[in-house]
Amino acid sequence: MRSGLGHLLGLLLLPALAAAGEPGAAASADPLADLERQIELRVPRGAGPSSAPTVRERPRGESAARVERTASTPALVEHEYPVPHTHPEPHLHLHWHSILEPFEQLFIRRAVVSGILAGGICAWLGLFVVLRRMVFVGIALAQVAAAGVALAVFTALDPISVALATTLTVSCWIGLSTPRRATSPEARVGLLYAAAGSLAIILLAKSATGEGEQLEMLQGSLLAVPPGRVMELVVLALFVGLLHVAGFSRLVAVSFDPLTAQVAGVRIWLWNLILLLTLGTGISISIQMCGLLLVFGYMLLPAMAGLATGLRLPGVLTVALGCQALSTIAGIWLAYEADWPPGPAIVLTMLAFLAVVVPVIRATLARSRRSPTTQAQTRSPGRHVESERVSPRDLPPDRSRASETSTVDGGSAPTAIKPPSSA
Amino acid sequence: MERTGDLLIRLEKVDLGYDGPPILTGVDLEIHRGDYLGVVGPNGAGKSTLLLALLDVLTPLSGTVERPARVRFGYVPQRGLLDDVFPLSVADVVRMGLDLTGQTDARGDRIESVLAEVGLAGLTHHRFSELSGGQRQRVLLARALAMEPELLILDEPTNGLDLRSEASLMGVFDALHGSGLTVILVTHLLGLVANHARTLALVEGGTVVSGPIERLLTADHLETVYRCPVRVVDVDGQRVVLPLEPRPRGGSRREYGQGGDRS
Repeated sequence: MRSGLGHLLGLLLLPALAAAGEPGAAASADPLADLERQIELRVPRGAGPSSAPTVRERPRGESAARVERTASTPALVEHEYPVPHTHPEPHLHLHWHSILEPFEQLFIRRAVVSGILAGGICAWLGLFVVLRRMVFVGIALAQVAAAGVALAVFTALDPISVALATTLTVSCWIGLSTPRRATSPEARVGLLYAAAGSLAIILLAKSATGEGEQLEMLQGSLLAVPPGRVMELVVLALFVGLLHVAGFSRLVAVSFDPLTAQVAGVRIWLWNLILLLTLGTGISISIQMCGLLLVFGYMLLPAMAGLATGLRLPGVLTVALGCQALSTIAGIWLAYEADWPPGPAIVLTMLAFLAVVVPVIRATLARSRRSPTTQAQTRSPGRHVESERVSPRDLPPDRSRASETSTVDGGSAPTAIKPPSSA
Repeated sequence: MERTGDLLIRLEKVDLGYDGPPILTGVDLEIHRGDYLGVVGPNGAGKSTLLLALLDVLTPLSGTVERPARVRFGYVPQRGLLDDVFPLSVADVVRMGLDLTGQTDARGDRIESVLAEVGLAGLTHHRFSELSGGQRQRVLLARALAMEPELLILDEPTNGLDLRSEASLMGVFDALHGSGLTVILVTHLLGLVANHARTLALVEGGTVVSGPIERLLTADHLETVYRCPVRVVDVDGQRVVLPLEPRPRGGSRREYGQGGDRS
């Protein structure tokens, strides 16, 4: 998990460094990228869809306005542009109206909905990724999806379809191939990661819009999500959600103790494959919109936040989904206000959630366990013993003779061992 | 030893292995209802391979496996193989056994009752990863019992436990066997099987020798299997297996004491 965080920080720094070098950067081969540096598009406040934006030359050194475009074609998105800030009052005097102002924009609301849907899918799947210690598989699949998008850019095909095809193929390969003793599974996944990463860079370097696409693949284009993509995400979220809710207990059993599940007749290869295929699908659909960095962040950080609270599995899932949803809203707001790329802004917000909110949740839970009301409940005779008040460390190492009778905190007397029903 | 119970599993001239040459060859072994079988052998001899074949997880390379009826297994894995990172409560782990066997009725009561059977009543909501080794082993036993097994298979259940926990846990296994459950205990601790199991399967030299414990648990047999001098002594009615130091051949004699090294 720590190596995953290191990788994430590395990915996080790359777009920041790229942005830092932007004002003085030499002219690139991408005319659109040059246009981003040189001009600013202005849309009058309250202008309707038919109003044409004005274009002004941007003085050297002034920060760039965002110019949105689709990933597959270098053409400008015609129907919407992010509106530059025209706050009449200083930023320090924030009122609810000004705080909520970004969310009055349709493209921002669409970005929030898309981010929450994609993040929800990735966070749910990411919990299994983290629990099964297969974070590297998650990174590798995201890299494969990115290579698929690069292949689509190079061949002018539909990015989602190509990314989906490549990722699902690789997911099947990971799920169904028999590990050889000579190489560990991690080494094979590492090989996959290196191959996919190299392929993506070469394909993008050879495509017409290579440089811009590389940055976009890393940080995504969450602010330019077309309406159709939101519907795709809704369908995907429903599909993954229903499948995982229906098979939740099987997935947990297969992840926690695969041999026992297999002995009980569960086809563990099938459930592993289901997990990998849903993971591949979720990543493929999200990668072009959210970018490599944000997809990986969504898979790792909410799960870490949930697990760090010390709650049980349903609580962990709730915190993880809450973390990604709140971070998506706050991150997009931050990106709008500070003129940051949204992907890194959301990842930073999730890190802040992990650093600030999770300790608060832990402290609150610890306080509630120590509260007089709860303690009184445990002392009342005849009540069922609850777990929170009795630390297992307070109990004897094991219960033999007297302790076997489970008399700690009023626990029940031992039950006679009953013969099995079938014997 | 008379074995009157129904046949549950019969392995006949079975070869077991993975990729490459077989690890165990010509295995003949029968498990009858009501047996208490101890599977012992040196490290790397093939105990786990035999275990997987009994669990019907590993397909034999050749030979015949007979299972007259579908056997319901209760498998208790080595607790060290389970990951602490999973945020599961004791009840969640036991409920897993109910889920895996499709039991949907009165799950709360069933969880409480199996936990009481293994002496863990009241720990339902504790986090599994925070329990002691002995308590975790009991939770895994409770999960296996929740699956209403006909055959309970225990894989190194007392590894890492202190003496009291070990004795206590073995007492639970004995009681379960006494109630009619068939038990297979896979362990490397000869002392455990010597005083609890009724039959023995010695895994060594690429094959399995099985029979009544009185016949197989002798110094001669064990010296052949473990390739070191062994004594089996009786202490207050309990069998104790003692490995002896191999005598040095023509070596020097050293004594250590206050006067220093006097070799």
